Amino acid sequence: MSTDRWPAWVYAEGDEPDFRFSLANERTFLAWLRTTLALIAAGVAVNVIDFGISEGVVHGLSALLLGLGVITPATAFVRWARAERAMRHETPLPSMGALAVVLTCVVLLVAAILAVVVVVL
Amino acid sequence: MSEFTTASPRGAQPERTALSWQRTALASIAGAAVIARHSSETLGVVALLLFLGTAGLAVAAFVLGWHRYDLSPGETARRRDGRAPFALALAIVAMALTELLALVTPGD
Repeated sequence: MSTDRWPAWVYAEGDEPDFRFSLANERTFLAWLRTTLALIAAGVAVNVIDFGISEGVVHGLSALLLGLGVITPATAFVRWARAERAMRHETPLPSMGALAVVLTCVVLLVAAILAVVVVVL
Repeated sequence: MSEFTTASPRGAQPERTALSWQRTALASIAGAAVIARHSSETLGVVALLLFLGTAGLAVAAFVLGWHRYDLSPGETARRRDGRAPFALALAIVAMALTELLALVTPGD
């Protein structure tokens, strides 16, 4: 079945799902993007605020957060597309996979380092 | 009971999603402007070009997000696809890359 909807690997097969689920999938995707905006803002803030620590540590923390700002939107788009495809095929929704683990670990790491810097040093 | 408690939840879905598109796109444009301002000292005109590209994608996503929920009477939802999600995701990736580029570029 051909389709003019992009990407074709999502829309070429299957049946149109209940639009409420499709819209909920979009809102989840948009929530991930807003989470990413917060991560990017944190990356800029770490770089701008003077914590009195070495420039290397500041750049490392900032780069970690900004790196998530690159990875998360790309993964969120793939998650949205896979979920849309699964709904069209009436199969179980795909899991978040490694994204949630990576995101949680990096955010916890940065928070732990900042907590040590602000409270202890 | 009030009108809100008895209304069908189906009717609110497109509007709620359209609002979500709009606030995410607007936040992206604002974030891109802040990052352009912050990175302009390091990147110069490159920061401006990256901002224009990022803001253009976010505006495209705003318009697409608005249009596909601007329904005619009796219409439940317009056919949607992945173009608007891709444009907005790309805009935010570009934003993060701009700041990363400014981070690794040596200053004066």
